[in-house]
Amino acid sequence: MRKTVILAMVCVCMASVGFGQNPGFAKSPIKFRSTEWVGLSTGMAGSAGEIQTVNGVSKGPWFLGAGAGIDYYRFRSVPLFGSVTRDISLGKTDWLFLYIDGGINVPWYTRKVAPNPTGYDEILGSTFHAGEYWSGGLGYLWKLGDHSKKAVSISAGYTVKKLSEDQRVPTTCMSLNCDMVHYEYLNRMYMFLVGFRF
Amino acid sequence: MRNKVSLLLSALAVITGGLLLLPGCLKDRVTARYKIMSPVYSLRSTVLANVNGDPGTAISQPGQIYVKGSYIFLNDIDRGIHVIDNSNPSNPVQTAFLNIPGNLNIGIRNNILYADMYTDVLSIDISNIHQVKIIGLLRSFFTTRNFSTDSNYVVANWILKDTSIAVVPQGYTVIPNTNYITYPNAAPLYEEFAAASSSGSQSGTGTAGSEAVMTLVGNYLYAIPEQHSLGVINIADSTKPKQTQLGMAGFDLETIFPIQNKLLVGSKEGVYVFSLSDPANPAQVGEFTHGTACDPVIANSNFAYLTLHTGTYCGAASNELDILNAKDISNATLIQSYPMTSPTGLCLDGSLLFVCDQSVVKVFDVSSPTNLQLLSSVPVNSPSDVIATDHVMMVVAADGLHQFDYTDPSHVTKLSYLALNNSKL
Repeated sequence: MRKTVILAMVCVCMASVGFGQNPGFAKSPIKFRSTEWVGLSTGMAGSAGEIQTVNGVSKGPWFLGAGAGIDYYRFRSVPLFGSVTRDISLGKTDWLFLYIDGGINVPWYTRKVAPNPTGYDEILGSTFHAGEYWSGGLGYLWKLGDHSKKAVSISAGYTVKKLSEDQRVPTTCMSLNCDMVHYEYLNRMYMFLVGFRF
Repeated sequence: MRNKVSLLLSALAVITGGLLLLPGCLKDRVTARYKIMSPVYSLRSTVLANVNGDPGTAISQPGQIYVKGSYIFLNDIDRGIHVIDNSNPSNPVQTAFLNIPGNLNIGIRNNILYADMYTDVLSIDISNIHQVKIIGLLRSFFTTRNFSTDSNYVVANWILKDTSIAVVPQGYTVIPNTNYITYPNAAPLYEEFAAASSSGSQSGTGTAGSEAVMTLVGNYLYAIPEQHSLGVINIADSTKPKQTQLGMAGFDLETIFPIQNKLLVGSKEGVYVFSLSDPANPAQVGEFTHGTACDPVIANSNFAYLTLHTGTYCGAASNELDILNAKDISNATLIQSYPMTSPTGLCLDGSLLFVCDQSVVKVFDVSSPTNLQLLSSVPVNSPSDVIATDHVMMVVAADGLHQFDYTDPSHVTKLSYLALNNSKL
């Protein structure tokens, strides 16, 4: 995952080449921008739905904002993250963009525990805990007019979300507090999103 | 415009196709961290020779409680027995420690203390509590607690350590048709083993808690050596305890309580009643079933009280206090159930009933069993068992031993607290 994050940061840095040489950047106004996304996360456990909203401010080709979403991959969770995006012009209405998101992944999942456990393969209690959230990728942006803020976009990226869980399990152990098993979940997925920017 | 739409749709198709093919490259990772207990063996003869331990030994994990005279005998699970001089309940003093690895159960008759050491039952002369003597030994009674393949050795200590393993991701996916997931194993794992496997006070004996699995009546010691059997040990000669009977007594037996020349044996399915008309050969004379639950049971001459709680592998569906008509204990019938939070141990003192219930000990007036009156709720950290006698309520809790004065049961006041770290607060 660390490699992925570094790679994404390198991509964003490379995209910023020329940023310092752009005399128009300083004169660019700061504008509010919002992008609503819907799509799929797909990985070892299959595919799951994903929705996100990312809001913040843009200045020239740069965007800095914060986002939140709902991710149904493996365990439903709510990513809360900061987002940096760099747009790269291909033409008046055609743009590429690079993005990197980082934050926390808050669980929104309740494990069904056995109300009447009868065997040692059942769980007596479960508590999920938040973990890291990282995402980075590349997208295509089609502006709906030469000077319009409105745009349709698609993106493909790589996402890592972590969660942990404490499970209380049946045990014959009578000594010490030994009925807990702690799980760390590292989920890796490709994320494909379609969005609308305004 | 049409070209743009075509371009977008093409890109969409390419990316989607790629995403559907690529997930095989991704591997989720799951690690599980749990505890493993490794045994430390000692020669049995060495362990028996060192039964007199350091009185200042810290209380590690309190288990069963037993009161005899002015002494409290507090089991420290798998480690031994703390002897606490409770002449002044406001200032209990740890006066001795009996170093008995594998100990869970306590029974005392006159000056002889009976205690288990894994599979064995020891007779210990406690005339001089500071210099006790092991005077008798019965081997291989608690059959399921054998952790040593060499009978000359016993497990003197356990080393607990965290272990992390990588779990095959499929291993934690949902079990078909359920929302359960699998996990590596029931924790903890015992390393290196193939076989890892107010109570009833009688003449000359003390008072045991409601979670006891061993009790003394006359010249016999009755115990649950494994989950389905009731064992009888003749202790007429305490230097030669002799097993006289071991028989199938029911399913998933848990607690044992003597009343009216009978034994009430609590199990996950209910309460079995055994007659002691022939004390060497208890015979089942009744049964009260309540579904599946863990349930300590106590009784007086008119009523029996038992608690059921959920959240364990015992499988209870509800948290409640049940009151049974016990005038004819062989044909006990349910009089009334009262909802509880998560009740465990309980005890009686006259018309007062004390019930450990998750984070409090509840004091009830049970003068009218169909109309219980809650007199007070005493906050205690996870109480497990309670003994109340002579206006002093002794509570075994997750954080130590608490004592309260219930002279006025509506206003229970704290007397003392013996903490796990051995400090008095």
